[in-house]
Amino acid sequence: MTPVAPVPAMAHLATSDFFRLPSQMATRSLPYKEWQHFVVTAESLRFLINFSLSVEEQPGGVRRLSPRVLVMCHGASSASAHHRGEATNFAISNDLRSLRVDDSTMSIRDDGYAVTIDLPTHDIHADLVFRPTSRPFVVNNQPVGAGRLSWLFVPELLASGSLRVDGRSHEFDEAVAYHDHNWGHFRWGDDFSWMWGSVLPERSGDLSVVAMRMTDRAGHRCFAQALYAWKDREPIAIFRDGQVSMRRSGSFTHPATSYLPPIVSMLTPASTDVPGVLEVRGSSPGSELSLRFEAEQFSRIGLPDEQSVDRVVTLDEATGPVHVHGTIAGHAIDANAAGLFEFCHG
Amino acid sequence: MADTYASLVAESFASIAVEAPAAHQALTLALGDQAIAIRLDHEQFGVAARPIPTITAPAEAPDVAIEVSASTVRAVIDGDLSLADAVTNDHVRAVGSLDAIAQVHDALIAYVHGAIRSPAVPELRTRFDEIAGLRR
Repeated sequence: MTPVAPVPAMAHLATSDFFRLPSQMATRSLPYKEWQHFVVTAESLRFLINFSLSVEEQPGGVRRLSPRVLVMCHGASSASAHHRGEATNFAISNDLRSLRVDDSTMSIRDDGYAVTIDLPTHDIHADLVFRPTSRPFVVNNQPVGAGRLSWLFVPELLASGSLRVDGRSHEFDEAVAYHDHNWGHFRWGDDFSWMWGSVLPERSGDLSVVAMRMTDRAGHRCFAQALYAWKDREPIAIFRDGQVSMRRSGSFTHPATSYLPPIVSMLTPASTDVPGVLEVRGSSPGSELSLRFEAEQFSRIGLPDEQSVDRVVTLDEATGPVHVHGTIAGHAIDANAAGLFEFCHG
Repeated sequence: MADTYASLVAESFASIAVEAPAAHQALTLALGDQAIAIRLDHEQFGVAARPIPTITAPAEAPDVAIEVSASTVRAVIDGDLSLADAVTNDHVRAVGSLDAIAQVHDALIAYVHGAIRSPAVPELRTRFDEIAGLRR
């Protein structure tokens, strides 16, 4: 294990990441959503952990805050699990830095994140700490239909601890990880879609990349797009909007390897929004960076459309290899890495 | 009183009506005037749509008669078996006119849309497994 120097990024984390919560829950017309998302890559597997809070509208104008914990494992033979917490059995700490859902907790500490998961009916248990090695990046108030979405992401962290899922126990000793935190008021099913990709290196400090694109539902009108790159835990390039071009080639034709919840397989078409190949290119004077993502498999999360009772919104979580190349400020870039790309079809 | 499959379906109708009324209305419309007879393992019951989806005694001359096992229901819910494969492999038997069966299929999809919008339904699923002896 290569020693990693203390990172001043932690000080930024302590002040910038906390649960935002719906401060105007009763008055805002659009329901609130917030989720904390972690990806760990190790043993040729990708583990996704997600803690979410969403305000669900009930008849009579009643709104309830509903928590969920989600764990997915992508590997050679994908498997996954899902848990929906009861609305009454959760707690958020007064300092907005800790969420408990049943017996699972996620805490934001001065030195990073702590996650414990205990889902005995699914045989899922986790005790993990995530130590950031890069600074968080915040983007506020991006349009999603009639609503707005903000996010904070930490491009690289080191995960240590244990995770048991799908009958296997995994031990992590500073495995490379990624985190994003999203919050805002919007409705699933409004006129938006997005693509969000994280590219993680095998070894801490090597190139990591985030690519994103927010569009209308059909993908014809782009509201924002960006390509970010880090190396040696520092940002080396940011390309935005007109500096970025994306090209999709073909469609990924294999069926989803899993559905969350599983019954969603009855409600969504077999076709997918996942491209066979996605190419993203960023360019600015003196710098150019291209990535090529080739999907190997995907899992589908289905969310009830909040505008139509006969639709579900799909979040396709696709994994596969990524090749990144280019030139940043005179330095050649050529790297292979693991990609996790989310395609939200609104 | 001990759960039965019929009582769980009745509870799910009630939960969807309260927690997802728009989906409940869509289910009611999708069912139309159909009278459905269901045999689930060794239990028989009926579903009627008017004025709202209700559990009844099985009709003597239903528009559609369905036979299915609890293990098949669970496999479909869990995504281990597609509904299409369940039907083509005779794990589900539906007897009725093509139009009537198509209408029941639409009603089933409307029911599932309601179920995923009703927070109370997942707990019913646990009780379903307990009746069937399929507890995970």
